[in-house]
This record gives sequence, structure tokens and C-alpha cells, in this order.
Amino acid sequence: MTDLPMEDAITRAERAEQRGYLLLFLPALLLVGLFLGLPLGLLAFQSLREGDAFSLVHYARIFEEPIYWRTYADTLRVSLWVTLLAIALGFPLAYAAAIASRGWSTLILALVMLPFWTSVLVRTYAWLVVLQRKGIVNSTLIALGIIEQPLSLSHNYTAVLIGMVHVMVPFMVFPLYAAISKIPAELLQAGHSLGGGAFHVFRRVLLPLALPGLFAGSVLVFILCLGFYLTPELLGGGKTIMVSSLVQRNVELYLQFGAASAVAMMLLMIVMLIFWGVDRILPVEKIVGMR
Amino acid sequence: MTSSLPRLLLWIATGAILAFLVLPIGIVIIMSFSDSRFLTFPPPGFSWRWYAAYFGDRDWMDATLNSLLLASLSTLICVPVGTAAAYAANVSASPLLRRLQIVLLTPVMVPVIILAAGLYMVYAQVGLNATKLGLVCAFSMMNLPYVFISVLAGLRSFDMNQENVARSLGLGRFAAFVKVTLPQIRPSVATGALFAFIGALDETVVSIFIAGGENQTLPRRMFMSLRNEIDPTIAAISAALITLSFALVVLSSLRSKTRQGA
Amino acid sequence: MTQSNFVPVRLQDITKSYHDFQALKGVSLDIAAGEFVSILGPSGSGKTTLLQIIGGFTRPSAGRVFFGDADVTLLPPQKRDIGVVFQNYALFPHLSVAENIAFPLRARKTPPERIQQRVARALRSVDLAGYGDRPIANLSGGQRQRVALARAIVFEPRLILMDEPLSALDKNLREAMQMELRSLHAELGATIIYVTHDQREALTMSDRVAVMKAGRIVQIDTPRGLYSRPVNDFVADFVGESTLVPVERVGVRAVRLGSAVLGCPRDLAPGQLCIALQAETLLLCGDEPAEPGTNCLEGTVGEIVFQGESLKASLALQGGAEIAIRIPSHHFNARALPASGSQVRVKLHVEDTVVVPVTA
Ligand SMILES: Nc1ncnc2c1ncn2[C@@H]1O[C@H](COP(=O)(O)OP(=O)(O)OP(=O)(O)O)[C@@H](O)[C@H]1O
Ligand SMILES: [Mg+2]
Repeated sequence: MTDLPMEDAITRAERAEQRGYLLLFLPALLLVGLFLGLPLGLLAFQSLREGDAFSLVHYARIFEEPIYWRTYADTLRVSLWVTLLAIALGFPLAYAAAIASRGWSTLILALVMLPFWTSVLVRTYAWLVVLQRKGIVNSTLIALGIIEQPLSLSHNYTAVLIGMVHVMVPFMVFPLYAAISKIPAELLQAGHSLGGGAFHVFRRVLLPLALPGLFAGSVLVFILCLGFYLTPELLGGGKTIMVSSLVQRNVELYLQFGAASAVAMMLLMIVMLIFWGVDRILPVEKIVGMR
Repeated sequence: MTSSLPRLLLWIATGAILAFLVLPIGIVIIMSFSDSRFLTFPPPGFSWRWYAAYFGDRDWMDATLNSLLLASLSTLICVPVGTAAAYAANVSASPLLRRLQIVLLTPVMVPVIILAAGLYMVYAQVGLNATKLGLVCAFSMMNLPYVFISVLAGLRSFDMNQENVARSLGLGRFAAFVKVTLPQIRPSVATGALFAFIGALDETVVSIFIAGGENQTLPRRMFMSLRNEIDPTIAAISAALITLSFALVVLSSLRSKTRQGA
Repeated sequence: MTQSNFVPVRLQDITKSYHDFQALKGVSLDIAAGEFVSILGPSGSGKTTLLQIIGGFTRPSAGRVFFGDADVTLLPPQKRDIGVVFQNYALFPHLSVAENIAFPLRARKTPPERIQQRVARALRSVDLAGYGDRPIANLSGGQRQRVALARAIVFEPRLILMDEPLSALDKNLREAMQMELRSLHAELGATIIYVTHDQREALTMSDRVAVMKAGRIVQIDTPRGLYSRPVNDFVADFVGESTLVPVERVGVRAVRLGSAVLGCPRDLAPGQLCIALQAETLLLCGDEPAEPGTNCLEGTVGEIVFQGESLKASLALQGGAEIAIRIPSHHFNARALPASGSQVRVKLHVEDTVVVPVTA
């Protein structure tokens, strides 16, 4: 027995429902399409334009002029260093929070949350204050008689590293903590009771099990570093250290939209390549969900 | 016994790293009460002068109020828009919708500097630079993923059967959502809204490019001022901002705690 | 309650596909007004899907649903006037007990004083008078169950749907609630469609039971009918807690099991057959010759297990099949108890001799 009109009606009702959902989704899609899609489209377009014609000069420039490709190299180098340092500082914190009693663990995590919820600008300012010529570090060192003349600590490469690590540590701690706190305590104890030293347990038990969190945190931190602007700009003392400054200068200072677009597109491609590369191991939703 | 030395080292390291994370912020707060023009530490004396300088300065106040307004408006836009999208993504079985979800995450995947440069160039064409409309739209777009992710997570752990029951008891779809689903996913919506609000309030890089003139924002003004000199007024502003973020975070976590307790 | 609202329900050739998987493959069902029908089947057989379609929460891929004469296939749930109770109760945790029960009345814009009366009456009818102000979180499982029930009946629905409503309760509570549901059904004269995978529950409560397998209704019958006249080995196995033993058809109403020839109450179609032997229908007997209307089997007693009110003995038939018999554990029986390893005879009434076709 087939009654086609009924099946048609059912299909129509089903379509109408799905259209309704799409309609609910549409405002969000429009918002992103207009205010992200369009800008990215324009950047892509401009990066390929020279005068009134299409050309690859802007991309060629990135590979030819040292100031450009060196900036990319520096950006990668800084990002790598910051990631490593964030691991070095984040791991002990995450581990301590995972094995501490409830109260201590909450305290540790709260103290990590504190900078996390503080504006990057404020934190960068804090480092300017701490690292300046008459800042607390210099005055302490002088008071202790270790140095006589204040060191110039801010406005250089080291200051940028310190400031960025400070921003990134929380992003490393949260996924790491999530991974480590899932490891049953008995497993770590078993490692010890089987005669393993602390290092042995770390290498054979803790590290492998914490690896997913470590990976997630590292990818997140590295990607965030690649496009980081504020801290390098303010703590770098006007030197162009990161690609982001290169983009900003080409737009605002030199009004070189074509060059700026190409530099930005190049950076975007690197970031997307990383997302694409790790997608199979670590879905994009997971990475951005942690941010 | 074998593990006591590494233990001790771990606690020392933890303390040192936490100090590294927290102390600079504490120093800023202390500095905000300094009575000196110079940022010598410890401050020579106590005063409210930098707060007076902040709250008494028209430009700073205008920028602050403008930022609060922009953050509120953009939150008002991206919460309903993000919630609607999350709802659709959660209930629809359509493969098209599933594939489109990733699009809503792109604003946090693209480095902000690229967003800022692109928006600046597009806005320059259509005259949206340094306008409220342009800023609100940009902030709404940038913070949409936080609302979307947070609400979607809330909906995923919500039993959609409840909405079915509410409908069988006589409510239409929208009414069922408002009366039954929304009250129960409220913490997720609030978290999304909180992220959106603080995100918009803090947004500096995009502001640097597309704000200005009449529509100065607080972070942009702070940035400009920091590039020139280390003015202690910024310490007072920073302290005020820290207090505000914390008040919001603590308030929302307290609310969700009392909710769970009930 | 003045005039009953309850309607007959008719399902006409309902199918439901999820992509290339068919969850329902043409289900037709006629339910009279005021009837209590259970849908019984193993996990994944499509019971919930069928109920969701009747409730309007899911659209069928094809087929129609009628409430009385009205085609409701495309009617949204809010227009169907049905009370539903789910396994996890789906109570609204942000509302109090009374607010939960008042929910459908508020949705219908009932005047507030009427709401109060009816909520109070509904609370009394499920023995929860005075619980109105409690938050849902403070209720026990059984109490939640009653609130869900009160909420489903308070607005005098046309139909009540229940999806494994008792499966989260412990055994005693479940049995008590079964009785209550039964009497509530009688009192309201409600049309109830009740999903369960517990055969005992289905048999206890229902006017009729529909047995489902892999998206199809295999048999729909009264509990007694299902028990004594299962259509195939699947139903016999699922409903009867019996042991199926292959038999050979040796006449229109006779089969052979090992060396024994057994009479059957109904004509048998040719094909592969098996007998469904239930422990309760087998009775130990002596060597006396079989009376008419009685089938006899022989076997070797294996293990005997004490199970409270009865003993359960396993019996190895000639030919190797292992079945169970039940012996009441009172002392009159003590001397008749067979020893393990001994050879015994059991008898079985012809009317209890259930022979069913074997399906693939
Ligand atoms: N939304 C869906 N998408 C895809 N398949 C589904 C969906 N809902 C149900 N199914 C499939 O349909 C079949 C029937 O499911 P249904 O929930 O109706 O079974 P059930 O008889 O209620 O089982 P149970 O006793 O476990 O509750 C199952 O195989 C299930 O996997
Ligand atoms: Mg089910």
C-alpha cells in the first residue's frame, strides 16, 4: 500500500523543519561571513594585487627581503621558545595541582586563573613596571649589591619572552591538568612501589599519560604565539620582532596594504596548516574550546 | 622516603612559578596606590591620586564608558545569535549544518592581528572605521565562538526529552525552549556571555585598528599611552579592570554554586 | 472526570529509516479506546522509535497515525494532547512538584484556582498529597515516578504513552507501581501504550501485548494468547522463559521428541518445528500408564537447586537436550524428590504442549 501524497507531506514537513534549523543558524553564519569572511577575502585579494593587475610580488618579497623572512623565522623561534618555557613552567604547576589535596589544588588553579582573567594589556604593563630601569628587579639586585648600574631589562627580546610566557602558562596548565588529574593515583604509586625512582616514574608513567594534554597545550600556545601582537610590541621596544608587528606597520605606518595582506595571508596559511596537520590527532573544536 | 626530596623541589618550584604568575599583577595593584610620579618600588607613600587622575579625566572616562557600552551591546548580540546557532547545531541531523559548525569557530582560529588588518581594510571601504556599529559587529563576531561552544556543551549534556515532554504537555517549540531548556542551560549561557563581555572589554588589537576618534576604547587608549610613557594612571585603571573581571567571574561562579546547591 | 477524552489509536504501515537503517519496517496496530497495550521487544527492536512517532516527537518516513478518525501524522506534539512518561521521568528540575504538575494546565491557560484544585487532586491520586512544594531533587525514584504520572494525567489527555517507566525502580517498588498503574488505568479508562522489555511486566499489566523484533510487530495478542499460542520460536522464547527443543512433525497434531511422541492441541504446518518446554508445566509422575490428554517425557535428573518456594531440577532428555522442571519445596514432596542421576518421567498436558515453527 503506497500513499504518495502522505509521503510527500512527510518529506515536506521534514524539509521545513531542517530549513527552520538553518534559519536559526543563519544569523551566526552571517555575522562570521560578513565580518570575518569578507575581511579575509579582501586580504587574499589584495595580497595578489600590484597596481591594477594580479601579481605575486608581495609574496615574492617575503622570500627575498631579509627583513620579511627573518621576521617569520624570529616569530617561529620566539613561539617555539615560549612554548618550551610554558611547558617547563606549566608542567610542575599542573602536576602539583593534580596531586595536591583538594584545598591546595583549588588554590593553585585559582592563582593560575588570576592572570588568565586579567587583560593581556594589564599584564604587559605589569612587566613594564617590573622590568623597567627603576623597577623592582633592578632595585632588588642593586640593594643586594649584585649589580651597581641598573640593567636594561625591558624593551628587548628577553622581556618579550618573559611577557609572553606569562600570558601563555595558563593555556598550558589547563589541558595538562585535565590530562594528569585523570591518571589514577595508584598508577603513580605503583610506579614507585615497583622500585622506580622519581625520574623513572615520570618518564615511564606520567609523561606518556600526560602526553595528550601536553600536546593540546603546546599546539594551542604555539598557535596563539604566532599571531601575538601586544606583548612583543610593547615589551619589544619598537623593534619589529614578530610577524604581527610587520602587518601592523605595513598597514598603519606605510599604508602598504598589498604587502600587509601578503604577510597576513602567509601567517594565516601557517596557522591553518598547523590546524590541518594536527586535526586528525586533535580536533580543532578541542583546541579552540580550551581557549 | 625516596620521593621526599623531589616532592620538596616540586613544591618550591610550584611556589616560585605561582609567584611569577601573580606577583606582577600584585605589584601593579600596589603601584596604583603610590603617591609618586615615578614607578619606584616600593612606593614612597600611599595616595588615591592615580584613581583621581583616572576617574577625573574626561578622555579616560569617555573611553571607559564607550568600552562598557560596546561590550554590553556586542554581548547582547552574540548571546542570542550564538545560542540559536548552538540549538540548531544540537538538534538538527542535517549534515550541512554539521559541516557549517566549524565556520563558527574560525574567529578564534584566525590570529587577531589578521582579523584586525582585514576588518580595517574592509571598514575603510564602507566607512565603518571608528564607528560604534563597526566595533560592535566586530566584537560580536570575535566572541561568538565562546557563546557557541559554551551553549553547545550545555545543550549536549541536557536531556532533550525534557523539551519533548514540555511540548507534549502543550507548549510550542519556542515556549518549551524558554520555559524548560533555557532555565536549565542558563549556567552555560551565562559563561558564554561572561566570556563575550570580558573579551569585548579587553579587545585591544582590533580596537587599535578600527576604533578611534569619537569611538575611542579603553584598551586602545591604554595601549597608546603605554607606547609613550609608563604613566601610573594606567596602574589605577589596571587595578579597576582586574577588580571588574574578578567581580564578574566570582559572581558568576558563586551563582552557579548556589544553583547546584539548590 | 466527566466524559473520558481517551481515543482509539491506529497505526497504519509505519516505517522509519535513519539513513540506510530501517528502525521500523511497516508497523500497523489498532488500539481501542481505554485499552492498555504493551509493546514488548528486545533492545533495539524499535519500541522507543514507535512511541516517539505516536507522540509526534519523531516523524515517520511513511505511514499514518490516527487518533480516532483524525489523521495526526503531521500534528506537532503540543497539539496531540498526550501524556508521556519516560524512563528517566524527564521532570523539570527547576520547578517544584506542584509546578511540574501544573505545567500542562498553565500551558493551556487554565484559570489559577482551577489549576490549584486539579494539582491537589492529581497529587492525591498518586498518594503525594502535601508534597507540592518539594523540589524535584529531594524526591525518591518512586516519588518522581508518581509526579511524572500525575503530570501526564492531570490535563485529561487523549492518550498516555509510557517508555519503560518503571525500569529504574527496584523490584519491590516496581511490582507495587505495576499494580497502581493497573488500577489507575481501570479508574481513568485511559488508552495506554506502554513500552517495556520486561515480559513479566507486559503480561501482568496489559490487555494486549505487541511483541516487536527488528522493527516489526511479530505478534499481538492477549497475555494468555501469547503464552499459550506463540506464533514462532522468537515469541515463545521471549515471552515464556522456556527451553526450546527441536522436534519432528509426525502427524497433523503430533511431534516426536527423542523416542516420545507428543500430542499437540492445534494443527501443525509442515516445516522445522520446536517445542517450548516451561519448567512450570512439567510434572513429575510415576510409571503408571499415561492418561489420555497427557504427554510423557523421560530424562535423567541433573543438578537440583533450592530456590526458596521451589526447587529447580535440570533434566537431560534422551537426545541430549537439557530442560528444567520445578518442584514445590514443601515437605509433602520431600519423599518424592528424585535423586541426582536417577531416571524420571515427567508429564505435560496436551493443552500446554506448545509447538512453534522455527524462523531463521
Ligand atoms: N536518531 C537515530 N539515528 C539513528 N538510529 C537510530 C536513532 N534512533 C534510534 N535509532 C536506531 O533505531 C533502532 C531502534 O531504536 P529504539 O530506541 O526504538 O529501540 P528500543 O526498542 O527502544 O530499544 P531499548 O529497549 O534499548 O530502548 C536502534 O537500532 C537504534 O540504534
Ligand atoms: Mg527504548
